[in-house]
Amino acid sequence: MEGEGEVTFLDDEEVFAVIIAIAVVGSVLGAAMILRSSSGEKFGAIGLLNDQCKIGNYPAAAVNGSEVNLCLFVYNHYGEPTYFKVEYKIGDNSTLPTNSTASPLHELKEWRVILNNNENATFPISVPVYAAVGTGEEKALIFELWIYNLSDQSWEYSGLWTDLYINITGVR
Amino acid sequence: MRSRIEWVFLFALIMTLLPSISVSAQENPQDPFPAVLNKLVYLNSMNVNVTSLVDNLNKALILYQNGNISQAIEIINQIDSNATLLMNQAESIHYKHLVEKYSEVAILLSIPIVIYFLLPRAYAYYWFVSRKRWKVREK
Repeated sequence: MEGEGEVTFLDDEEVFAVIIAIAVVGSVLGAAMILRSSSGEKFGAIGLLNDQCKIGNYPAAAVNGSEVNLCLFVYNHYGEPTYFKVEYKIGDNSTLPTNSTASPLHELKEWRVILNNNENATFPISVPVYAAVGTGEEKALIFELWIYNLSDQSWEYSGLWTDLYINITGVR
Repeated sequence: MRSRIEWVFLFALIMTLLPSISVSAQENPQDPFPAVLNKLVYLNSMNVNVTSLVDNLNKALILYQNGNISQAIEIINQIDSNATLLMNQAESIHYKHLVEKYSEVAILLSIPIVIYFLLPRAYAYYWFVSRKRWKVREK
């Protein structure tokens, strides 16, 4: 039709095609972001901080039978409210936990926290530090993260743990 | 056939393990938090906002760990009754959320179609409006 070419969009179909392509890609990406799982990868985290609740300047030595002040950090990214427990144990190289199994030692202390998804908690703790005679002066303060499994109604080791090696003085 | 010593050893082992089994079995029913948390997790899965309820449950947990059992139980009971009320509305909230979500997706996916049909027309209209005062002069 005569004169139609003058009002055709930008006189160039390629420019129009590019605009349409950008709109298609943008809208599909937007739709995918809405449809995908809101939480994505599920994980938790545990961290050990010093008595000022900051990283670094951890105590290197402690008197046998004394208490050491530290801070614990727990983070929930499991996509739902989660019930956490941190177990404290004193061990050494041979009794450290792994990514799949908890340390075989008995827990000496524990702290529990319930967190929303994407929420974290940092709280001060005080842990007893001691070593029996003949067990060596360097000990590992072990902190294991446990998660409550609501369907099994039991605590499960998360595979996450942290430790702090400390020299215990005054062991005879 | 097992010797008498083996049977005695087995009996002693069972008797040693029995108290620890009963203690671990009793631990969970005493914990009042999982039952309430279970409801909150269900509500969360139905897109009900349970942030404040979980925060309050954590406050109750802190009180519980500090030995303020009666205060903690009071908060837990409040959360439990709130959660029970919300569970009645959970399905309608869930469907409302689904409708909102898929409406957003539909609107987003319709943008290229709208652009395809309306942009040339809008441009033509703009082209016409911007030139409507023009005067044609013969060359």
